[in-house]
Amino acid sequence: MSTSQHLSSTRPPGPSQADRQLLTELYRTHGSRVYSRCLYLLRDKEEARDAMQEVFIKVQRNLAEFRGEASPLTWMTRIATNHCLNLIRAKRAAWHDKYKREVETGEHTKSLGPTLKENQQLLQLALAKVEPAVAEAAIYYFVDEMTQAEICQLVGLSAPTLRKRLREFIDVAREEIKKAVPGIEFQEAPI
Amino acid sequence: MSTRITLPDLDAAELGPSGFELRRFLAGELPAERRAELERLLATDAAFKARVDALAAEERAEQAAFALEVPLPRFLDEVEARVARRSPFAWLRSLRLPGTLGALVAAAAAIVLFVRAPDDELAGTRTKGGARVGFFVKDEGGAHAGRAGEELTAGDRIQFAVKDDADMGAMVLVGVDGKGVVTVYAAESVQGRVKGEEKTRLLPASVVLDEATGAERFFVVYGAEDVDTLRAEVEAAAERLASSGSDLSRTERLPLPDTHVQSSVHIVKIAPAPSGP
Repeated sequence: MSTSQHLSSTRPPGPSQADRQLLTELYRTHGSRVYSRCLYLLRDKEEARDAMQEVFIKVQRNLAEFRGEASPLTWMTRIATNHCLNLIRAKRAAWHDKYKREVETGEHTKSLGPTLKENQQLLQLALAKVEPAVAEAAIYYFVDEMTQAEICQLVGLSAPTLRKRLREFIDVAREEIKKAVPGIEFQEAPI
Repeated sequence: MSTRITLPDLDAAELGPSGFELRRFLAGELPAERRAELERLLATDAAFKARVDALAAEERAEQAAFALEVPLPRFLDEVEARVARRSPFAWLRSLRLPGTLGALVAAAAAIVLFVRAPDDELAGTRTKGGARVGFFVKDEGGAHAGRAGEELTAGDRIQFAVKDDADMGAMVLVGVDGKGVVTVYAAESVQGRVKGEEKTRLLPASVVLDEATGAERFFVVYGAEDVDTLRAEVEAAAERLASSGSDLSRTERLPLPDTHVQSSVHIVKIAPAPSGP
């Protein structure tokens, strides 16, 4: 049974009680994913909790759309991602400094993974440097591990446009990682 | 530690299922047929089963940490407090009016807001399900619902609103201006909408009008095709219209088959009034 069906069939009458019931169900079914996305991007538990609350309020206000979604998980992940990217867009330089400090003081540069996907904290250095649309595509690809076809369907992009955005992100990420990890080398994927 | 990072090959074939599809599988969101396929794979492929088990364990750990860091009662209280702070009636509550009087004042305020709400009053041409495109104009008071044929000047900021058609698969919003320039403002999938529950929604981006004067018409087109195919079709039709020299204040449809649902609205861009001495 999908979450949307479940929600519509169990929502009790009475606005206040109904809102509380709905929030409780959303919290149980999607809370950890939304929080996890907010925490990944905002790097601060208080800010992530604030952002998560905003995401749930948006869902409450767009309940009809939520119920019509074939994949509530995808929909909520997207709302959370865009909400956080909008916060980052407002103060890009400050966010970049924050990510940079975290990389410098953390262990991320001491235990590098062999692929970009396995170095997600380092990828954040590029998130605050690119346009939100590019960052959004990169998050779905590198963090959520969606296929390009899944991203195209979700965002409504053509495959060439998506690849262009991902390449732009990879180029910026390369430069940022080079600065953070002197001596690092990159190699193209083997054919 | 690795000192070399391998970059992804974006042109390589991608083998499914993706990590995200597995999360949807665990969340019980996949269609029955796909779910059955993955369940068969789980029963026969040990490596796949290990991958799913690892992801399930990761999700359980994530949920446990989440429940500790954001306990449900606290979450509910904080969301309610946040909503209450923003309620348009919060100022009424702060007056602490006696019961009946307070309720009457709140009801009156609600009626005024309801009457003024522009929710479903899109200015576009009507289709079977009503008008499907409109716009809001940013002004000193915030924003107002734009009217068909409204006169606007360079630098005015508008934001589009559309009402999706649940029978269709994709939407394209395109503009044709008096100089024959075609601009695609949005192209997206609208799959999964529920018939009868389509609501007017604002598109995220706003547009600042340029200095070209004359009529400009915005067409929203819904089609059963995928986004890319529909976009190509709509762009081509818009180019044909643009090159035909038609009067955009009167041409309400793009030259497209009747199987598409389309609605349009136009504005008239005028030169800004000369500033005084």
